[in-house]
Amino acid sequence: MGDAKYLDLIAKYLSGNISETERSDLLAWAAASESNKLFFDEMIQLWSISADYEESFEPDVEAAWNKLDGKLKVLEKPAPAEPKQAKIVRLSPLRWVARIAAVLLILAAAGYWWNTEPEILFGEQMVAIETQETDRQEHHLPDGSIVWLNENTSLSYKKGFKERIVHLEGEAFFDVERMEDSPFTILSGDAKTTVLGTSFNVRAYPEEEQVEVTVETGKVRFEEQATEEKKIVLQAGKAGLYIKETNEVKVVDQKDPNVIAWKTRRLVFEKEVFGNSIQTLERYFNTKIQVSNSNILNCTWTSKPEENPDLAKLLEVAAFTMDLEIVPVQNGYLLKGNGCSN
Amino acid sequence: MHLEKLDDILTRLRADDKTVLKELFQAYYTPVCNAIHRFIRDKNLVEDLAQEVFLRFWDKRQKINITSSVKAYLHRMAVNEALAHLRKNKRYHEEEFTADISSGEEVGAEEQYLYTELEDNIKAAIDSLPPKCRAVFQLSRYEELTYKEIAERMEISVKTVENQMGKALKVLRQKLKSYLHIFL
Repeated sequence: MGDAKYLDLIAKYLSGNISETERSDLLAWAAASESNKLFFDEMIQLWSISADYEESFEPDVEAAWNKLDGKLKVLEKPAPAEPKQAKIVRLSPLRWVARIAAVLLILAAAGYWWNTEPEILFGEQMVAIETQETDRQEHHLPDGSIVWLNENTSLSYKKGFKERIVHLEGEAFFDVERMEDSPFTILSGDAKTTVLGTSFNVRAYPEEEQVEVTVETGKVRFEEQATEEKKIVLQAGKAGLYIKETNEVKVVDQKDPNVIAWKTRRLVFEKEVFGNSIQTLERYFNTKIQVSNSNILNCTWTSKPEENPDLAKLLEVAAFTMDLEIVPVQNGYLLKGNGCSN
Repeated sequence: MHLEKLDDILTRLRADDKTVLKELFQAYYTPVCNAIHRFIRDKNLVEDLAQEVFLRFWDKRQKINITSSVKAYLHRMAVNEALAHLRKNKRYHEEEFTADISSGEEVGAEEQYLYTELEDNIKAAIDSLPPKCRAVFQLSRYEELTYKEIAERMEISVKTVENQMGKALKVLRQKLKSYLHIFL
């Protein structure tokens, strides 16, 4: 009988995932005894007979097509469809300030984005761009504006783009071409963001606690889609924050150079308080960084800005600067040390 | 079923020609179902997910870029759909990965010598694997992905993939032991 280690090695061998050293180890083990060799041969046999696993599903294709056709017809209807349950962030009756900030919200009605604009028919020619888990994409709109999509984001608009209207779910950075007579509109749920010409970042993932809009250049005006009465204006260097749980809206100074790091692929830490840097690092590298001692958060540090930064290298710089020990843990890292006084 | 060249298909799709969707559906619905069925046993759910694949395909018809063939593209979408469903429904709990070896039945002696039974028994043995374990095995054995690719698509660690492959082989060996000696 083989023990678990050799079973795993055999699996690697059969599936083509084995390394040279492992292969030598395995073959030596197989040669070591008759029972080992027999076991190995049995597994080879098992692998080869499992090739005969044919799926033989026989669905009623005609019936299935009728069903699909029915679904398509429903989606093509002009009346808005019911939003899918899964990830809708419901807005309770909000104060007008909060509701305007709700304009910043990209509600994650998974895939059913078109229900907010009755006149956009499914049948009309739409252009849709979607990114997956580890995907980012740059897209040029017909008017010359450029959008950079972060992961798990979808963007769509009418093909001709006569009116500059897009639907967004996820995170994107917009660089909007200035056109005096033609405002650029971003639709998401009940919200409407209008700009004339500017560049800004919108971050609205359904699983996060807040929505952030950061303006890089120009001005961004927000209004409630229905009334169009109330407005907030954000300009360069400012960010709008909408905290979902408290319905709180804040306009804050945005001095963090790393807000659009996902797009620029550059991280800058200059005499930055490490506590803030941790947040940036967690977000950029999609990892968790914990500290053994909260005084570590008070330290400041600097690292040389680099294209496509490497987390391990950055942590080494931090460790050296702040006298820390780096311990890899399950989902990320634990940093140990004495930290700095406040 | 005679389908035209890839270029013609793409042109017709982009012109919102729904009849090409129907042709593709009639040609590939069954293979898409089969691809999903490897991972998900509930046949009604399989068909729902298969239809979802075609809806998504139609939804992004303006933007899709197919370099291989429509069939291969749909196949990949189908596997993704199945994995997404498995991911969405539950988190990967350790218990789900534990193959229940004790509930396995030994293949009866009288069936041993009927080659036609072999296929059914292989299928039954693979079906008896817990869903995520089976998914790992499927992706390696039939989709021929590397451990790293499997880990990425299923959002688990490579170590977990290694363990699951070992466990899968252990279960399959238990259930198909009688057959192995026929061929050796």
